[in-house]
Amino acid sequence: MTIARFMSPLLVATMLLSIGCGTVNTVSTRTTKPADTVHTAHKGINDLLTEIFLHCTDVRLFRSEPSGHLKVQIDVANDGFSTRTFAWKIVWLDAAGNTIESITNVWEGTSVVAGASVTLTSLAPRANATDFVFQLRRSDSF
Amino acid sequence: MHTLLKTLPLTCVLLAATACNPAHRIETGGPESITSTSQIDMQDAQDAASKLLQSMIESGEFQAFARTHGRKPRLLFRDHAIVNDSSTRFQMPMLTAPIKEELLQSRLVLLDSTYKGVAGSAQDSEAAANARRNAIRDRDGSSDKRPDFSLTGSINELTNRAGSTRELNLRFTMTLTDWRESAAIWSKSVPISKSGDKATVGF
Repeated sequence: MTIARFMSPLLVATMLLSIGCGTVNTVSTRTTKPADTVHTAHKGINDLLTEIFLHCTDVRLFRSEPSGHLKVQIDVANDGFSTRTFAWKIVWLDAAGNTIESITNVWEGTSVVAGASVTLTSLAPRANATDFVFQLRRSDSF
Repeated sequence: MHTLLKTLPLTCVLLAATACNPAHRIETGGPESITSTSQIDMQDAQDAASKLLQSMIESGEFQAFARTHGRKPRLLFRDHAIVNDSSTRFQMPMLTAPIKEELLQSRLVLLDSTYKGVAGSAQDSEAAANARRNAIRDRDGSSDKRPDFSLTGSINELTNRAGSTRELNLRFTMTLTDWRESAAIWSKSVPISKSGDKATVGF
């Protein structure tokens, strides 16, 4: 009886938790990781996104043709059951690690509905960009 | 009790003073900017300018021209070439000035400020007069400084309402025309949508 009393709330809690952890419903025909996946950036960005209950599924950094400028694509997934709104900014750096001043260094608001994913994209404003910094800000209405 | 009644108005005034939001400087278009569903906000203009510029650079048209002709292309980019069809009274340089600045800083193009065109007025009349004097003096046509490309565009909006919730859909469009081909070679449309029942601070 004691076990039953304990188990019932546990069972209900488990069921609620399993309902609460939704999964992102996407289909991909890709069977292997893309060659330009940036694992270190992936981990760092994922740490940031986890704080606002999102997660990063992939980060790709490549030279966009025909411009030859670097471009980054960050896949963000929302496994929760509510829409998440956040602001993000990508600041590009040159080879010396200095910030490249540009109008592209602006905060951009993005919403991800429950169970969906978005791709954050940024193109380096100059050809001499070699790296980037990802900044994230939780929305006040979050 | 009498003292309490006497100090009550003062207490109310003090509470009201602490509750208000005094004017302060904020990051332009940053997370403290106001988001409204009735008009174009600073964040919308910045967002659109950033995406349009990135797409324009990514197209590689300016770089291809420079490789082919051995010089930077001349771009005609006039503020009135962007038609504002939205209901917001919008000063066009809020959108175009950052793009012009970035194009010049990136050294991809030369912005034409002396071409008169059909309007008959150059952006810089003194420089235009000087260019005309040079063209007359040289006579060989080497001073012919007609643009190689021009930018045009539009801002459109669509609004909707459900009860007290208002939705504003904006679309910023720009098109790059090659004057030698007399045809558009790049175009980009940036949609921005906002929804809510009142303006708020933040995204």
